[in-house]
Amino acid sequence: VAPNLGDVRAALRRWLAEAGASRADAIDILLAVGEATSNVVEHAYGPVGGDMTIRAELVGGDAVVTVADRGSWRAPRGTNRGRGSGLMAAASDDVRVERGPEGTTVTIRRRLDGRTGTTGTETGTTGTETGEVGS
Amino acid sequence: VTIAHVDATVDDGGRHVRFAVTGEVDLSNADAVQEALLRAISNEAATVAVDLAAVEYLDSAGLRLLYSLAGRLHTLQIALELVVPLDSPARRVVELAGLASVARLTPEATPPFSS
Repeated sequence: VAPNLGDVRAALRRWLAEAGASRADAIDILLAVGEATSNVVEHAYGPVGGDMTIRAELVGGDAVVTVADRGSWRAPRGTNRGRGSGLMAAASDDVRVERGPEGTTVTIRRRLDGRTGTTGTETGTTGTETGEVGS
Repeated sequence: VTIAHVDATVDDGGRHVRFAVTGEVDLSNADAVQEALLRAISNEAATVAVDLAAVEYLDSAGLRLLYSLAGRLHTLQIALELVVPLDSPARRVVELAGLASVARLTPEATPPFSS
């Protein structure tokens, strides 16, 4: 069965609207979660595929989204690959990846503060966040 | 299925090609979008503008496409302009990825695309 990430985005958009996310917040969270779910589609399972569980919750003023699979992690292949995790980190405040024999869980945290993009500060934060990615 | 539409407008006998992309671009349709863009660019093209203002979702799969397009056009010495309004999803991705180094970014369409 072909993965339908469009359905995931539609559900996430509804949740973000209910959570009161601004347009800038929503763009970042959709992007970070989109990269995490794309990773699952591209790297977690073989040709037969598998399932993925996505959970979103509001913790304090933060959107916390977890993307879990029950597959095995595989390094990105091909040219121009591997930008996804950089984007995921840049678009969120914190990304944690837990890899185990049972599968991989990615936890994305992003404050809902209506910040606008395109600032130098965010690029600064990115370095720290990237460091936290991985086990 | 993730849906994107690509509309191409060709001016001046194929010298100026302008694309308007709408919908969403992810890993399931990025190749098809790239194919649609490349097919509409003839050997006569001097400038290509891709308007991403109405794209509701774009991620690293779309970036891969844009980098690939930029690389091909660079080889052919065709100028590439990306129309990405400041508050658009495409703008966010393009800036986070530093795509401004391979294509000219403009916040809005600037017709006519002058040579």
